[in-house]
Amino acid sequence: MKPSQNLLAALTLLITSLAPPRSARAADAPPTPALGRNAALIYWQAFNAVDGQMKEEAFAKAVSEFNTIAIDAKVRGYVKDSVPLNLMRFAAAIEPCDWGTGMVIEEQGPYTLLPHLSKLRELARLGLLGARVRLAGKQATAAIDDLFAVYRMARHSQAGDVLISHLVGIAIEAMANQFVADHLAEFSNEDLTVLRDRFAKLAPLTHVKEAIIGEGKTFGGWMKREAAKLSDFKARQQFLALLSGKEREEAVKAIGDPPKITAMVDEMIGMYDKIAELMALPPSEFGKAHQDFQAKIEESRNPLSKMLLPAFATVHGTYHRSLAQREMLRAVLVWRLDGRAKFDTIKDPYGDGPFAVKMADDGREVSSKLTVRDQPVMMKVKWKEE
Amino acid sequence: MIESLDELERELMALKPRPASAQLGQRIEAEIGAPITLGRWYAPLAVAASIAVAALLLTLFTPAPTDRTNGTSTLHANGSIPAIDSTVPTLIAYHRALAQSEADLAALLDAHAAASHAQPASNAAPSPESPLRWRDDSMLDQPPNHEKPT
Repeated sequence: MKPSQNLLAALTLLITSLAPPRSARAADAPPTPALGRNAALIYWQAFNAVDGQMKEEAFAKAVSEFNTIAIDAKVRGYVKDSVPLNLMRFAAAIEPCDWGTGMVIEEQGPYTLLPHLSKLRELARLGLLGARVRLAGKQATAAIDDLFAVYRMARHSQAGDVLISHLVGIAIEAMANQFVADHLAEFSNEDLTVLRDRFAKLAPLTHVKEAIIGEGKTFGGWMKREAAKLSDFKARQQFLALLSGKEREEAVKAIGDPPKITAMVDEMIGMYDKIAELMALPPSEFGKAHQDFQAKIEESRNPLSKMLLPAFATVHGTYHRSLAQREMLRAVLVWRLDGRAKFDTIKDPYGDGPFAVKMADDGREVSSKLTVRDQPVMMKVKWKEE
Repeated sequence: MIESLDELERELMALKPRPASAQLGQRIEAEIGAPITLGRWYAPLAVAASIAVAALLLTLFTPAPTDRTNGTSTLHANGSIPAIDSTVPTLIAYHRALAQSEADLAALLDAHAAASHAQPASNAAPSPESPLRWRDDSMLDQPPNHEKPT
């Protein structure tokens, strides 16, 4: 070794020994952001993988018709070692999920892009196709894992307090519930016991009033900010684009009067609080309260309230239908495992007694006393008691 | 339109001041009572005047800015208000579908999913024509940190 090399080696050793240990350096480093564990990032990788496969017509058909398509070698191939399914299971196992929507709504308001919602629905269908293929292949445990990944995805969809995201979560859960009801006869008692236990431990979907409160804050904040800068032509156009017909004409007239517009926006934001209160009402009390509130909106002659408040009666009905169907599925699982007598001990949360049961050709129809938009809430179950 | 403006701008920039005549110099000398060299002060004044004229012409003939929100022209202050584009997965598009029915919302979500497969990924991302607009668009003009000169 040359002297210069010796010197270099010695210096390197000296510098290394003087440097703080690895752990100490790590402590000095900026903390890793909490977003490091974010299910949304993994879901996006799954979406990307699905996008690539959806270009194949047969794959797209299999996903779209996940519950009815004939299971052949090709369909089994879509599920076996599927990259998007593996990513979906991985994402579903992660607790934190942040789609970034809250931050974006504050900036973009009603123009916020929500591209993940349609993709979540698609991934849920693929997940249920996976569950169906595994169930048919006598891999019930793996099928249950896929099924609960979809249930978890429904909850992840709701992250961010956006009303539409909540509804997508409800729709995904409804798909999973119907899947269980459609394939009830195919599970063994042992598998169904596992399914029932996991179902009981599943966190409830977030109450829809939380989304109303959240959206009132973010969307309301955007409206307030935009209303303050309506002298800007672009801001004015974006604002008016949200309205149409008579309501737009009224807003155009008010735009030259900033205090009036501000008062309109404030009144509309204030109505979100009232809507959140209405959302907490049971269906039996909601109808009358909704009518009264609707009359108040009409009386207010506020074009913003008339056109921009969410379709909360639809949302209220959808939310309670999901609660009823979840309880119905729980009751059906009890019937399948413990008999009809036990089923009859489970009360319809919207009635005075148990759920009603009607026999059908391929199983039975379980229904609640709850009606949503004049339709009874029911669930078709493909299972006949031996 | 833009091409013809570029041409006009080039022509204006190419304008050169004519040399001052001897008579003009004599008249100015007579008025201020001192001999002057016309070339020294006249040239920058003429250039400044040319630029001012060019700027004025450009201001007068440049078309009104296009609203990049959705590509509609904002030439007139009371121009048409852009419509909400339901092909873009925005919060307002979904709320409008929900106002029709739950089924409409589901159909719109499925349509967006299908459209996202039909388009190349670059088209699916927000384009300059999309409604995505930050409060401070100047952020977009700043280069990322690694591009900043050291």
